[in-house]
Amino acid sequence: MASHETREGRCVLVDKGDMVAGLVPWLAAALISGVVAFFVFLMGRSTGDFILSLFSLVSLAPAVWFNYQFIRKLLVWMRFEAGELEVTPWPIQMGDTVHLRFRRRVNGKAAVRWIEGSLECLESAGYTEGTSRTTATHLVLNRKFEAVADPMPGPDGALEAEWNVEIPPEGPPSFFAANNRIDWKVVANLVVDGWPDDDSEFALTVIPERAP
Amino acid sequence: MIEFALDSPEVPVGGRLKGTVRWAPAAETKIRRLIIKAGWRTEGRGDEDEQEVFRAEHPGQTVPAGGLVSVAFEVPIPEDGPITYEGKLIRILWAVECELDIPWASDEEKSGPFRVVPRESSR
Repeated sequence: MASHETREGRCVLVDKGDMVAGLVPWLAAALISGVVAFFVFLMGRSTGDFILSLFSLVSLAPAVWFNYQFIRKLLVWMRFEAGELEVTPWPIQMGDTVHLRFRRRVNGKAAVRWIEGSLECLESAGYTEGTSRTTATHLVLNRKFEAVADPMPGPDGALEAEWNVEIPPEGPPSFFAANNRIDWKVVANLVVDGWPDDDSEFALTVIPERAP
Repeated sequence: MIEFALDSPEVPVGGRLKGTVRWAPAAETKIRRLIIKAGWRTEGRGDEDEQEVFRAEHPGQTVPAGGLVSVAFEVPIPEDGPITYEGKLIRILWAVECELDIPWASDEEKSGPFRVVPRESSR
């Protein structure tokens, strides 16, 4: 998710998923699913087994999906640097009005139509049923920010969007345990003409203190 | 029967829950030890999470009929809580518990809930 650096009551979060490291899981999944599909296809072809041939077609689906996702991520990574979110104040208290400044540098030209943003608070509860592990989620709060239309890159090539948002006085504060969590996050989405859209996600920490 | 007397049913994070445990047996009873503990646990859709934040063991004694055992306690609540919470999937509950270890008899236990609330801003 995001790394962070704090100074003087503000924090700059960087979405690691936008960096080259974010490509690795997609590349691994694309390669593994591609190799599996290839071998199933070869086995089906050599034995002439109808079931195996059918299975090879089915196993092709995840391979296509993972390869599509990897290429999409690669295109985004080539065009955009990792998204950054400056958060003031930091740490965030319940009832704070938080100023968010989102920045993302563009390499070359990109016709960005919109920068959309939202604040989410999510309860997640993990439970075990038999041998399977399931996580139930409930969206406690989802606040969409006013979208920034046709943003122009600044002198350093970065697109910017600024938003102010109030954390409800009743919270809840962030909570992390082995099975249960309460997460706060900001999602910033670039809508680009002729190029894949991309989200940057930033985890916020809301502490159990009431803002003055 | 064990009784709790809490100075306040609510305590802010980073604060201290102060109270007293009282127990008066009907007949002379020897207790091996008295344990007071406090912590939080979750309830709801997910598997339970729990954490004990305080534990104090007091030595045994013999309490005469009509006598009274009274033990004061002070539980430090962590700065980061968690606070008591009532959500849709998750509930976070705090409680102080007392266990009386009585030889050759059923142990006595009692749990007393309290609320942990956010503290006022330190800014």
